Amino acid sequence: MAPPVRRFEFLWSLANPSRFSALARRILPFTAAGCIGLLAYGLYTGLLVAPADYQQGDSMRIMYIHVPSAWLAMAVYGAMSMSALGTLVWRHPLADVAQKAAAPLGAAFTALCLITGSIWGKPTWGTWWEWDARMTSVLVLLLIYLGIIALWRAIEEPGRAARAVAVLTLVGAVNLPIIKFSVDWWNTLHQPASVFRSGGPAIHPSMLEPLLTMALAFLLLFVSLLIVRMQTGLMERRAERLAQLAAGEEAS
Amino acid sequence: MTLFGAHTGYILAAYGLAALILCAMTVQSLVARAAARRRLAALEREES
Amino acid sequence: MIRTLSACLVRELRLAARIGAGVELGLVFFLILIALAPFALGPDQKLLSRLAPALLWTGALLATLLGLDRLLQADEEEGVIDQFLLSETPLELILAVKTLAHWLVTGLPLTVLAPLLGLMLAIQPGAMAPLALSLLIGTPALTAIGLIGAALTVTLRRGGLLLSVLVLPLTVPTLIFGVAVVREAGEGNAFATPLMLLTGTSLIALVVSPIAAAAALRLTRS
Repeated sequence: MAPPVRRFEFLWSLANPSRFSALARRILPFTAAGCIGLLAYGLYTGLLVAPADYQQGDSMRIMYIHVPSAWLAMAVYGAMSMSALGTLVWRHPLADVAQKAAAPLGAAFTALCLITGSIWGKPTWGTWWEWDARMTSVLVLLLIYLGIIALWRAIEEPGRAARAVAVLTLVGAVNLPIIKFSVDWWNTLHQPASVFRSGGPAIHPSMLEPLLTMALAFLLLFVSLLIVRMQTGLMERRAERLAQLAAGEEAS
Repeated sequence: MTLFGAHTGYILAAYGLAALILCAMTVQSLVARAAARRRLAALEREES
Repeated sequence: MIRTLSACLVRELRLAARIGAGVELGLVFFLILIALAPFALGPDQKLLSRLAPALLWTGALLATLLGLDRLLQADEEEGVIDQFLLSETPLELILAVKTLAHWLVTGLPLTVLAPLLGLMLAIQPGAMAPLALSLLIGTPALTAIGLIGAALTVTLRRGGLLLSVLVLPLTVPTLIFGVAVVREAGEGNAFATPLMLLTGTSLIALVVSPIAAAAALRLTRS
C-alpha cells in the first residue's frame, strides 16, 4: 500500500527532531539578530523620530509597545491553536513541544499588553484601569492563557497533557470570538459614547512605521524564543526517555 | 530627563517594564535550555 | 439507542436521589452568598436593588461550579467511563444526557430559588420573571461549560480549583447576557436582544460541550 500523500510536506519533513534541531540552529541567529536590529530601529523611530500626539502628548509613544504586544498575544494563541490541531488531528510529533513552548510566551505578551495599557491610561484617562472593551477582552485572554499553563502543570504524563491542553486550546479558540463579541456588546451597553482607545481613530503614516517595526521585532522575538524553548522541550523529552530506560535497566 | 515632557515617568515605566518582562523571558528560556542540555549530556554519558 | 440514553438518564437521577446530589447544599450555598452581599455592601436597598441581577447571577454561577466535580468523578473512579467508551452509544450523547441530569438537580433548583432570593435584594418586581427565565436558559450553559472542565480534570486528584480556573473565563458571555436580561427588565426596557444572545450562547455551549468533553475523555485515557 502506497503511503498517503501528506499535506504540508515541509512541516512533516520537520517531524524528525534532529532535522528540526539542525534547522533551528541555522535560523536562530538570524531571527535573533533581526529582532535586535528591528528593536533598535523601532525604539529609535518610536521614541525620538515620530511626532507626539496633538492631544495626548508623548505618552502616546507607549502605543508602540502596547499595540504590538496585543497583536502578538492574539497571534501566539493562533499559533497554539494550529499546534493543537497538529497534535489532535495530524499527530505531528513536534506539535506537543510547540504548544507547550508557546504558552508562556503568549501569556507574557498578554500581560505586557495589559500593563502598558494601564500605564498609558493613567495620563490619558486619569485611571490606572479602564474596563473598556479591548482591555477587558485581553484580560479574559490572559485568564485563558493562565488556565492553559495551569493544565500543563497539572497533568504529569506529557503526551496526555498535550492532548488535554490541545482540546482546551481549541475550546478557547471557539470561545474567543464569542467572548470578544459579548464584551464589545457589554461595553456599548455601559458606555454609549465609547472612547476608541488605541491612539485615535486614524493612525498617521509617521506613526505606522515604528508601530510595524516594533510588531515585526516582537514577532521575531517570539519566533526566536519559541525555537529556544522547543529545543529545550525536545532535550527534556529525550532526557526523560533515557532516564526511564536507565531506571528500567536497573530494575531488571 | 525632560525629553518627553510631563509624561516622561509613564513612558519610562512602560518601556522599562516591557524591557524587564521580555528580558526575563529571554533569560529564563536560555537558562532552561542550558540546564536541559546539561542534563541530557549527563544522561548520555551514563548510557554510553 | 434512545432506550440506552433514557436508561442512562434514569440511572443518573436515581444515583442522585440515592447518594445525594448536593441539591440542598448548592441551594444553601446560593443562599449564603446572597446573604453575605449586604454585609459586604451595606444594607442600602437602592444599592442592593441595582446590584441584584449581578449578585444573583454570580451566585448561581459559583453554586453551579461547586457541584461540577460530581459530574464525572464517581464514574471515573469506578471505570464507568471506560464502559461508556466501549458501548455503541456515542459518548457525546451519553455526556449530553449526563449534563441534562446534572442540570436537573443543580441548575434547575437554583433557578427556582433565585426569584425568592431576589426579594431579599429588593429586586425590581418586573425583573423577577425575566430573572427566572434567564437562569432557566443560562444555567444549562454553565453546566455544559463545566462539563468540559470536568472532563479535562477528571483524572486529577484535587482538580476542583483548576476546574474553576478553566471554566470561569468561558462563562463570561453567558454571564454578560444573563445579567443584561435581568437588568434591562428591571429598568423597564425591552430585553429581547440579550435574551436571544443568551439563548444563542446556551445552544452553542450545549452542542460544543459534549463534543469537546468526549474528545477530552477519549484522548486522556491512560
